[in-house]
Amino acid sequence: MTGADILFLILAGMAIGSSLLVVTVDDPVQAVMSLIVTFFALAGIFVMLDAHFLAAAQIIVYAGAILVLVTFVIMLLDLRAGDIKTPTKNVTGRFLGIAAAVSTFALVASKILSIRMDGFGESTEGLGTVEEIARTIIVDFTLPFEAASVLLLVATIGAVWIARRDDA
Amino acid sequence: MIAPGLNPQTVVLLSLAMFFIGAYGVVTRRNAILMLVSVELMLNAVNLALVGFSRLHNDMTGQGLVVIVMAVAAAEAALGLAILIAYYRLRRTVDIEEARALEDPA
Repeated sequence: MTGADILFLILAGMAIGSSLLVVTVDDPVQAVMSLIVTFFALAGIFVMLDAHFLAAAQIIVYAGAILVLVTFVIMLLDLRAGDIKTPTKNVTGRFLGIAAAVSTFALVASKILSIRMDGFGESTEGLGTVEEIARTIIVDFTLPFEAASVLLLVATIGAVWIARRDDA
Repeated sequence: MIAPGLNPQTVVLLSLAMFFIGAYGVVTRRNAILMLVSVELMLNAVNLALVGFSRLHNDMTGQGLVVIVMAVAAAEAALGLAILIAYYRLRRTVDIEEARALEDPA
C-alpha cells in the first residue's frame, strides 16, 4: 500500500462517515456542517483524480455558496433539533429506508464487483486543467453550457419572485 | 497523484455508498430542507463517479458534465429553498408530514 492509497482511504472514510452524519443527526445546522466535511473530503479525492479545477469549484460553489444559502435559510426559519418529528421516532420508516438503501446498494455493488477493471494507470498531461475544462464545456457541451446559463438566470429570478413577500 | 494501481471499483463503490446514504436521507428525513441537503449529497456522489471515470479513461467529458451538474444543483438549491421559505410563511413549518392540503379532510 502506497501513501496515495492510504490518503485515499482516509478521505473516503471521512466522506462516508460525515455523509452518514448528514442523514442521521437531529440538528439541521449540524447536518449541514457535516455536509461541508463531506464536500472537503470529496474535493481532496477530486485532486487525487486529477480534477484540480473541479476540486476548487467544489469548495467555492458547494461549500462556499450552496451550503451557506442552506445554513442561512435554516437560521432564518430558526429550525431546531426538536422542531421536526425525526426518523428516530419512526422505527418502521427508518428500518424500511435502511433496507431499501442497503439492498439496492448490495445489488449494484455486486454487479460492479463482477466487472474486471485494471488500475487507473497514468493520467495524460493536462487532464483536469482549466484549459481542458473550458475546451470541453465550450466546444463539446455548447448547448448544455448555454442552457445552464439560461437555467441559472431563470432560477435566480424565479427564486426572488417565489420567496418575495406579497405586501412588498 | 492517485496510485496508478488503485482499483477504479473503489471509487465507484464509494460513490455508490454515498448515493444510497443520500437516498436514505431523502426517504427518512421529515425536514424538507434536510431532504434537499440529502439530494445535494446524491448529486455529489454522481459527480464523484463522473470524475473517477473521467480519470480512468483520460477523457474530459465526465468533468465537463460535472460543471453542468454543479450549475443545475445550484439552481435546484436556490429554487427549492425559495419554495420552502414561501411554504414556511404559509404554514409555519417545513415538516413534510404536515404538507397534506390535498388530502381528503374526512
